[in-house]
Amino acid sequence: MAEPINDETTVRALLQMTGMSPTADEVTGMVAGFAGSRAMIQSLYDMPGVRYEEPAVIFDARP
Amino acid sequence: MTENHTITEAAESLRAGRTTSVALTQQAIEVADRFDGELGTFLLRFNDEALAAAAVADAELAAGIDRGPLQGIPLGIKDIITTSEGPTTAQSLVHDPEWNNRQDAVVVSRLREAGGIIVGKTTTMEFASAVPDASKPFPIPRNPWDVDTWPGGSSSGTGSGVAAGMFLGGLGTDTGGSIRIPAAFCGITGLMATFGRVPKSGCVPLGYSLDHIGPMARSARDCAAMLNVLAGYDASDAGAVDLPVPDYLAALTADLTGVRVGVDTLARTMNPDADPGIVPAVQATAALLAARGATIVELELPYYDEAMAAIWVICSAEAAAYHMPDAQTRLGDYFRGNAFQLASSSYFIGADYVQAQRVRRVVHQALTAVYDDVDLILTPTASIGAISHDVLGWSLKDWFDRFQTGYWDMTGNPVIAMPAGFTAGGLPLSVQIAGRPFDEAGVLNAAEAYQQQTDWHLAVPPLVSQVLA
Amino acid sequence: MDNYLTITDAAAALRAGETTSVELTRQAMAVADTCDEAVGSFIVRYNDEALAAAEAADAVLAAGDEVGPLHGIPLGIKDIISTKEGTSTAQSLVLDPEWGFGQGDAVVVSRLRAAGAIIMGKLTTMEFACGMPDFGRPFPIPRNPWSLDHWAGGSSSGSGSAVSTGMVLGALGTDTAGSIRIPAAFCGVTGLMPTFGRVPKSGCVPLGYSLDHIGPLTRSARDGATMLQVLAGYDASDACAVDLPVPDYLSGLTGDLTGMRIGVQRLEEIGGRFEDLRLGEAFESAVAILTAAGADVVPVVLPFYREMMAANMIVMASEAVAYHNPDLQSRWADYSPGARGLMSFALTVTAADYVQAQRARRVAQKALAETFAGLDAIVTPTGAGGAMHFDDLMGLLGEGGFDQIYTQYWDCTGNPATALPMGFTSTGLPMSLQVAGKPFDEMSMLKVADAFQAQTDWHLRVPPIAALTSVGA
Repeated sequence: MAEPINDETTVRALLQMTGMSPTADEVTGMVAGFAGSRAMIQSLYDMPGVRYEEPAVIFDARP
Repeated sequence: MTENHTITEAAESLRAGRTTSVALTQQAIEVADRFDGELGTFLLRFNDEALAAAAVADAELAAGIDRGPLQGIPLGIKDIITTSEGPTTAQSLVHDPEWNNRQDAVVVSRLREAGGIIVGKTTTMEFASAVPDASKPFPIPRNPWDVDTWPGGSSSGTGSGVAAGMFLGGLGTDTGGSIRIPAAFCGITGLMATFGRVPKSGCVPLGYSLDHIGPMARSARDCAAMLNVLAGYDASDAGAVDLPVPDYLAALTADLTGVRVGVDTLARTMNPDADPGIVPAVQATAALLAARGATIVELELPYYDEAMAAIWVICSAEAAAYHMPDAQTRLGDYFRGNAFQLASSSYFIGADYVQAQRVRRVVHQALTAVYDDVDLILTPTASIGAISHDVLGWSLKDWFDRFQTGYWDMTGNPVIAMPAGFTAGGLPLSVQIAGRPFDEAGVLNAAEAYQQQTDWHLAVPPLVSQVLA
Repeated sequence: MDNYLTITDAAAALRAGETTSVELTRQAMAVADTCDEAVGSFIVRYNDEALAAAEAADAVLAAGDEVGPLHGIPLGIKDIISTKEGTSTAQSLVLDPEWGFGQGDAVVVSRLRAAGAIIMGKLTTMEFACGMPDFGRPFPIPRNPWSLDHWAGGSSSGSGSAVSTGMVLGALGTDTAGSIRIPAAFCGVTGLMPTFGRVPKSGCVPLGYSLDHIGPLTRSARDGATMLQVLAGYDASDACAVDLPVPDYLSGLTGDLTGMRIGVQRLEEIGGRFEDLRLGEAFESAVAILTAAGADVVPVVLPFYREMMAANMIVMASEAVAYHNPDLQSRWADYSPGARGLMSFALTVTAADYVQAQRARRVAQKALAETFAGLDAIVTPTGAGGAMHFDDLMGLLGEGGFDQIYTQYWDCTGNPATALPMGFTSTGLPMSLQVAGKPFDEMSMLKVADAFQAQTDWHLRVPPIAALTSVGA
């Protein structure tokens, strides 16, 4: 049975994945800010006109 | 069936009065009637529109209006590229089929302007990325060389349709090898032009910074005729590059004097299941290029493994950004391979994507230094022949290291895949020739020099030749 | 001697033989001797090299040779931009000093030098242009010359305070979310962020690859135009540089805005709760001055403002973490808490989110182009108030704290934007007007800024701490 997932377990999993070791205070801050951050990020998917738009940074094959 | 077998030959016959566009189109329709059910080449056929367009082409030619070698030639379009005749499905339950309002994509309107006859929309992997999923209501693409095998993808139907003669050329797209893999497995020629050479607006994106549209046909010469029409800037594609377009047909001298060709068999990257014929096929190709004047040098592509790792991050992230609203609400409607791929994109943080794009620049700079010493690079296209449907499974990632294609999507260099023999089991083998950015002419000319000395690219699958004989 | 406040005046006096580069350089050094310890503008000063360069500049002038537009002018360089005199620190314990040394002059620095500029030293920043002032680290605290308990703004903190006090006549800053315009606003000087790609940024420590801009901080828009003339133009060493011709920026500075249309938005719906009591009146006066100079003003609404605030954070943080990743994994504690805050945010951004933010930027760019149709410039306040007290600073990082700063929108769209002084807050700190232009139309933006400064003298106000020095010199 998997552990229940909440913002804290998610943040800790992300930190384990990315190999970074913030202080306990910082982890607490990340957990507290996680939902707000994700909501802000999600707002970019709700933007009118974005569904079929291309990214601003485009690759150029020329060296 | 051996008559009017290539675009080049058919174009000559049309002008010599030996055939008509209507006859060519009727022939294509007949072959499709016969084999499409088995091969799963088409998602949609435009018989009536094609015959009407063919009649116009014939009338124009009779009136002395010559639009060039594609005039009156039956062509197939991968069903992630929009055409005015009907909806575009991307072979998906998720895609909005009315996207782009049934307008011709830039490439399609260019083909039409050149007199091309659009005979239908060809099968793909869902959104150009998922292995066939029998649980979804779409045809399973099969290989005309062995219907128990996969024709490769994602431009599956364009590959099988050219090989079977359902049309003489077609459009594919290539993000990690999707033009060259089906070209290899189906025994035809496929060209991925430099990133930015061919505008891709009107094409459903897979990986924005990796996607290329390009021609698939029997010969390099046919691909050159198509690229002459497809290439050139269009402001509607943010990635299009505004550079002059040379006459690719005029570049086909087949003389390779002074051309330096680097060879990398990539044997060091191959799995134990690599076909024993593939490395010899690369070496034999090098010898035939040398016979036309090329100097051959051995080299190793720089940062091969890093490039193949980075392409997964880039493609996953770009695809997931495009699909994210749907991936959150209806993941089960996707082909299983895509659902897995989209979910797996959660592994990657934004910094990983940026890092992959930085790696890409490092690869590109190292490759540019390699091209200081050589003009072209020859490698295998795939280490194996077509894969049996029985073992294909549902994750493309399981097979990706058998394809030597993704490297060139990462660097954006132009590259052609062309038939170079057969496996012991009678399935096509293929090699690639890649050039400097925007040197499609050099790439095509080397392939032409090779194809003047070989006839692998003219071979017809027994399934078709036996029935039509 | 006279104390020349602007590059324009100093350059004219040099040519007229009324001063020398050595005098200008000594004057700037005198201000730094008096003020730098309190204000924290310099990481390192290059007095000997600067005086030697000034003597050489005077010799060239004396010989009657043709000289460049910045000939003999003392300038400072933000310490994330490389110069040949010494290493760059990026105000960090982490930056590889070998890298800092190995770069030599960044393209922009060699362009300044070729135009005759005297490099006075390296100026303070926030760590890697993204941290926050950190009293626990062995670096100067960048203080506001108008009130030492207040922050100079950042990240081009030293560039703002050094120009404001006269330790240099102009400086280079960089701007990823506002780092030229925020210190310009807080220190009461003019800061110019050019169009993305206009000024090559090779030799500069990156923060966000697709957002970073190098630009000048000066007292006046005319001085900014003079520096931009030298800085602008393609260089192949920067993958983002754009190869377009560079116009003569000074030729447009007529002071006459007849025929120009300017969009106006106060942005109170974003940062209204942070507005200083005097902000509304100062902004309205500024708009009235532009109208009096001949411009037609029309209200506008910047499209997708909130989305661009989000996209700016997502893109900047993700690009920063790609650059810093190996060090973040091994030396987290060596980074300052402010930088760590940005980096931790990046861990919650998936790769798809980053791509999405780049898509969102294109949507906003297209919408903004429509808003800009028929307009020559758009003006807003640069921020809702003045500089923050150091005690309130960490609040900036809290929920909505950045709502009071109106800069990051333009980093995201890539348009050029200038911040210029437009008065003082109720507590006597500078307030700032922001003028943005269409992509690669720095000309119209500078024309508007210059016309405003022709009618006002806010940009010529010198903070008391430096005025005393000047009198004494």
